[in-house]
Amino acid sequence: MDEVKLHITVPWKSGIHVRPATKIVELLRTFSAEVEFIKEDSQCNAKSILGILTLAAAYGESITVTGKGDDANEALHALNRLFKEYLGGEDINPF
Amino acid sequence: MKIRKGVPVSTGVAIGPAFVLDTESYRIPQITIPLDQIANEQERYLQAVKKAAEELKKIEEATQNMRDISIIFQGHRFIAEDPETQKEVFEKIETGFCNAEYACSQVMWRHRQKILAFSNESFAPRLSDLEEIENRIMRHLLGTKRESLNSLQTAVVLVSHDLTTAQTATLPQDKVLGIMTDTGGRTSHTAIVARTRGIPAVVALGNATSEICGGDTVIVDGTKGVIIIRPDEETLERYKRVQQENLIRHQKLSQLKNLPAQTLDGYNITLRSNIETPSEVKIVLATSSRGIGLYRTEFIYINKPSASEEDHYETYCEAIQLLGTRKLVIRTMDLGADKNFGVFDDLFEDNPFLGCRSIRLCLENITLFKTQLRAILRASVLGNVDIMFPMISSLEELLQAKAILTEVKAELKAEKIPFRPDIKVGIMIEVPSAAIMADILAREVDFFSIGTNDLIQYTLAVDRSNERVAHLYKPAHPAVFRLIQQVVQAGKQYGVKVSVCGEMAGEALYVIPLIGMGIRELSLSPGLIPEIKEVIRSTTIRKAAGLAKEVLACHTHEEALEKLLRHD
Repeated sequence: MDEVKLHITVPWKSGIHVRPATKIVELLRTFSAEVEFIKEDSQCNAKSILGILTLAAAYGESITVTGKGDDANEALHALNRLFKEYLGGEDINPF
Repeated sequence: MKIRKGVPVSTGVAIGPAFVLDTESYRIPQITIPLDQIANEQERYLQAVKKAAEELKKIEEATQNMRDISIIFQGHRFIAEDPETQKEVFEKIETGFCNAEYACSQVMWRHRQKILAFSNESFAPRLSDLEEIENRIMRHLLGTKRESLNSLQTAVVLVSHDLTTAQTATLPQDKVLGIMTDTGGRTSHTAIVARTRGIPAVVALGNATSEICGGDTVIVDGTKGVIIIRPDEETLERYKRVQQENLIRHQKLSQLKNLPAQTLDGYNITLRSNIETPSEVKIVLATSSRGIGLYRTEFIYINKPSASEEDHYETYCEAIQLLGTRKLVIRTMDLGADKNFGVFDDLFEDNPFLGCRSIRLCLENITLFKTQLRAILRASVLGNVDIMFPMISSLEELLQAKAILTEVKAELKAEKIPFRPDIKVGIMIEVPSAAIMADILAREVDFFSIGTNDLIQYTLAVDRSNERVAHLYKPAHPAVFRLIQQVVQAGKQYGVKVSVCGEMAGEALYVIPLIGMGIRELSLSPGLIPEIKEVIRSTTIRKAAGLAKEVLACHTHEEALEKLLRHD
């Protein structure tokens, strides 16, 4: 099974705090793929809200996303959209 | 296994499951499960999570039109259903043969620890949210068998960062094996209650209690001031032996129950008890005490800040009924900004110990004071009741309090309500000025009771609950002994009885010099009576007087302490 990868930059001023993490988990739960976030030398299951929060990803930090499974491609695309939607200047704290 | 050191405040050893009061609403049992039950426990956990998630989903739906709020509960639901948490709980059940409750409690506790270590708070879910979610799952796991603090079926060791005065006052009588708190000191409220109830307790543990997870086996060594978290087999066995030895010693001491507190050369010392509620009278009578030397009536206000005359009267009657003709010294309320119980609005002071507290507060709120005095006087015809005013610091204050008492008596007389007109009136000697003026105050009272805790605090200018100066709180300071002796002499001169009702009266180390100075009455925690009785029964007044003389001649606390410790 192929692994797909995506590099993203945290678009939210206050980092990936509880609300964006909730949005991420809500989205990923609709896919069967295994998705992981990697920040420097720590990583987490991206469907685990506590895992994401423990990563403590701050504004502007880069995260590597890896996906494994049948719908991994779709999952990462959807995730990319979620992050992009808030890259615009109007977003300060979307949630 | 982890060992942590704190301050020992109530002797004895307790071994039992921890009940962490700050984070848990229910007691978490720890059970070792057989191999064939593993899948079953895992399934129970899943079902509990499912139910918790369903509840959260309902809240989410109900708040749908408030997106800001709805998303919070969605987040909570995801926390409850967190796949990594589930994996950890499954592993814990499988490798530790734990029941689902304990496994869940352990995993959630680790999450809380992680959050506490977070440097950037904005990422973290609030600790209270996490606790709420854990409690939600736990409620489903425990089902109808769940036990809250007030419905405990199994005895526990109470673990808490801090216990409020109200919490300690309402502790279930026989379900608390031991107590450990992060804050507090020897004379803090928790300590006093633990000693009264004979519950082993260690306080001032820093933040050791955060290392304990509900259901953990813990040991409280209230003699050495040590707690042990998740003890190994050997330690557990050793402490079980200590417990057994304590039990034997306790049985030996209880044989003293019907023997008098008499010195070897035939002097009788009256041992009375300090209590906070009438329910404690039963504990007191079990140690064959000669009644109550200090009834701290302010605790009437804990459950009812607006306590009426009838509330007071009924409470006193309850105590008198149990005591019969035994003495009951009722101290009028000793409230202050630090101990308000909601009685006074906006009672805030920077320095409550030097503020408007105790008798000062009563003299400012005469109606409230009279309400209590009426109730005491009415109850006085039913038993052997004395009145005691706390915190008197001058003759004027005493005369004012007595004048109000006379007024109340006149009112009762006019209303033809019976009372004992010759009820004995005494004062606490706990402010240095009162000790220094004892020969003047003695002419106006029937008895003195030396409250050593406050007397030491005010004499040495040490706030006993401030950890930075707590080491300066020294009962053996020569200044304290000198003041006590001054009071005893004034008492002798004017025929006024002098008793000691502070913590010193319950410590073997200080009892001998106290009786050596001429104290013939002590009031202490009922649990300490057998031990103190044994001390009294194994000395003579001659020897005690010699030691008192030596201690009074000391220049420093260290010197005095050395003499006390060397005395056999």
